[in-house]
Amino acid sequence: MFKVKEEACIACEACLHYCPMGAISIKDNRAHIDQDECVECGLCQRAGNTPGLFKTPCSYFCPAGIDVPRYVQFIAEGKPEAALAVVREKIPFPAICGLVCFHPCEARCARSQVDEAVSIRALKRFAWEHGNGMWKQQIKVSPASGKRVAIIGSGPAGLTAAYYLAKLGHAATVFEAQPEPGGMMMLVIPEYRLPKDVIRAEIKEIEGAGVEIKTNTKIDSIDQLFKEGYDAVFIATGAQQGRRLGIEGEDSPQVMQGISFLRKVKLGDEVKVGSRVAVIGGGNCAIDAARTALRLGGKEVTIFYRRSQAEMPATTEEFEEALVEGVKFRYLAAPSRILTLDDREVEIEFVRTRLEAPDESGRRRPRPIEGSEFVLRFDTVIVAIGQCPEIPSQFDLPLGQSGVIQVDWDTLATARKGVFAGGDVVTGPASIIEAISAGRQGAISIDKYLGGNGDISEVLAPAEEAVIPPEEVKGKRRSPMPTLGVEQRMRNFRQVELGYSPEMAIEEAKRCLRCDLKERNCIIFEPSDWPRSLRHHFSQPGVPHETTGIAGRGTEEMKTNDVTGRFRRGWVGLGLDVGRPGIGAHMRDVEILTRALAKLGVQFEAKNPITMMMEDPRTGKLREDILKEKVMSCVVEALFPIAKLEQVLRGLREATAKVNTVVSVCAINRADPDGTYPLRRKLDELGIPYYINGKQNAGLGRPLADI
Amino acid sequence: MTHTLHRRGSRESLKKDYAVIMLRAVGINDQDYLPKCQEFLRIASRHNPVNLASEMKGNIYEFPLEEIIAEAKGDSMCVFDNPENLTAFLRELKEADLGLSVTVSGIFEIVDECFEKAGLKHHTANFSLGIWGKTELLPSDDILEITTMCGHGMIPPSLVQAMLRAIRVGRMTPREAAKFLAPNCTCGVYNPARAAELLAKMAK
Repeated sequence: MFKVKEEACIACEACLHYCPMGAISIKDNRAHIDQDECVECGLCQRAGNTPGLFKTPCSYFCPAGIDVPRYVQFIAEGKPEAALAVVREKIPFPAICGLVCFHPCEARCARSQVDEAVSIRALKRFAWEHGNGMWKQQIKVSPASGKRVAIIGSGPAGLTAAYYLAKLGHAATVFEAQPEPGGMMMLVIPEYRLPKDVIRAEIKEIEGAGVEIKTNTKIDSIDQLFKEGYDAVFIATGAQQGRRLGIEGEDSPQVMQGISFLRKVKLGDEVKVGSRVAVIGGGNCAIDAARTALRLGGKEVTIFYRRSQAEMPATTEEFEEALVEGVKFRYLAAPSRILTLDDREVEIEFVRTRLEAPDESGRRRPRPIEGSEFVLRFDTVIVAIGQCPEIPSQFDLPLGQSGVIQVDWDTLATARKGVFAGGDVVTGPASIIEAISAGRQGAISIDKYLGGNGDISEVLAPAEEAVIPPEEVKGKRRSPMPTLGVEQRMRNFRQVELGYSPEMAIEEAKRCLRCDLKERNCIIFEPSDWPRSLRHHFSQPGVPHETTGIAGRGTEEMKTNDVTGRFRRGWVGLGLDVGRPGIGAHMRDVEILTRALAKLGVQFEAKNPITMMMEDPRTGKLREDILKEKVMSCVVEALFPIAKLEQVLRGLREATAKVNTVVSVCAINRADPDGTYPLRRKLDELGIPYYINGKQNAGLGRPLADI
Repeated sequence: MTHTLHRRGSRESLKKDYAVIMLRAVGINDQDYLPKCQEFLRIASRHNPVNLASEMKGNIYEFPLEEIIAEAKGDSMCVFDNPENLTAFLRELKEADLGLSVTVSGIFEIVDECFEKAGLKHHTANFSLGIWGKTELLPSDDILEITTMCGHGMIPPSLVQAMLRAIRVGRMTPREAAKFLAPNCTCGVYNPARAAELLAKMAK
């Protein structure tokens, strides 16, 4: 049996990806093999032992699947233009991600097991700052398809979808209600983290790919878009409605929603902030609001969070920068009511909380402690406890919890034909890189819907030269990101992170362990009694192999017929490979097909393996344990007179429509003495298609019936 | 009965794909089976097969040819990428008169011609009527052209996609990628020569 070597597993999920049986899962940061499902094919072991081919944890956990080791290597070699091209293979926003991505890649970087994760986000920013237009040289652009796609919303999901759809040849039009495109990136993320000029430059590239953006255009009706001739619609309106606390006094003039506060500031509207500011929430929006409040004149800015620091969704960098700038944090405190004292001051009553078992979000649930109330006085209160989408009812789409649009998670298709949705409007507030990933998926699905193949993959960077993974890994700690001094940050919105110099970037890039080029040896094989793979391989679950032979008696008899010519003239042998190619099948599917064939009056082999598998020989009853089992495939073989061909195939077609897998169908028949095949004639006569290739017996076996 | 019947592709591509299987019938002609398997493999090896295997041992992309022949067990397989080599092999096999069933998978007319040239007369024919049922679960047609060359479905589509990525970024040539896939098909009916051509075309 195959086993996971605990010390070697980094939960990269490569084995899970290649297991054809779905027998591997990740629990507690480690791969687990379900021995009942495993067929010992060994693909998981090959995934772990083959350098250079499989996604590393950093790439795997990047929602857009950027080939991180490849671009980091190019930076280490002093080729930022090639590094930028690698990043561009997956995302149209390298600068934005280089500045503000929440970098799930770093969270899983193998280097963190040695000292600290490689500073991947900072290297992406470096690639953008020092790269050039090399990525444009290999870019794929398809000829015009004549199809039109409307994209509602110009955030990262909408613009990404539009970019790839335009490159696939579709006329992509983005509708944006605001005066400028960019969604939350443009309107909410503060200038000191993400300057508008950077966003504008990346959007300009998207427009250069042929995307049309119509600003100040709010869409209230999807029907209207279809009437205007659009063939498909992608909804990516984000989650822009701030959540309310739901407590007394929330409508006080001193209380602002975090999202609208940040929007006003970024748009340049006049926003007054008192000297004592309370920010309620624990995410990046709360941190952004607090740091912005400091820049607008707040003297004492405090973030109140009802859980502890460990549960805060804000990124570590943002949290640390807020601390450096003087933002105070108070944990385990939830507001219970707000009292407006006058037009300048409010009092907030807080209640202390304690943490209990985790809720559905995986974070520990806060519970108010009775009698622990305390009151504090503030000039300004900013509520940043999350956002939810605002979907016009005219869209006529089923909504899920929190008002998000319900979609098929594989295709992002909504309940309405030709309408797709992705990004925060589907997931609730998430990250830019997740929205980009949704935009990519939206483009793939819409292209397929419009008759394309959905292929948006491209290679923009030159091929790598041979790389030797580093031997010595210790002694090089992560290069800290140079930042503006704290005193220089106040009263302005200058960019805080200054970026790596070329020397720093190369040093940092050289810290990458290139785990994609190393054997992991994370899965080992321990021989067991007899190879389970063969049992499943030959579709004999539950039957001891010594009683059935290698391939099962029924199959063996069919083989015998094949060899000896016992196929009676005028008869057809039917072979079904249930679950092949490569899908797998439940034995219930096999039962459905077997029963359907039995009703059609076909003859099964004398001791059919299916019957043997499914029936308990002592009781003659169906074995429920077998019916629950999943196999890689199961062969069903039967015989019938050629005259019944049409009837049998029609019945089989109806039965296969009821199974939850694929069935490869073949039919065998003896040649006539003149060398022609009656079955082929019959198939032609009935207009039943068959492949141009098949399998013929050379007549070399003995004993062979006289033909 | 079915496993070399999943192969699919254009006529031009299938012209380079002929899978040969020798098998016995238990209780009928399985006496002295192993020496006959070894002889089959020896003969095949003289005609430039692109794959060769003994089912229960493995293929030439996993083990040296000598080891496969010495430790042959189960049915024997080989694959040719042109009708000339197939014909020459069948001719020599006929002369060896091993007395075991031999089937050839390929385009009907071309296999018929090879049989005729080798002095053989076909006996039965197995026709593939295609894939039925929930075909939306299947990967794209071009991926299927490669994965169906292993009749047991042991070449996962995701692995083919990994190969394409590796080819596109210059980590592998199509030929190397095609060989990398070969050990997954233990029975040895996978055709790496044809796979290399398909991968090269898909990677463009």
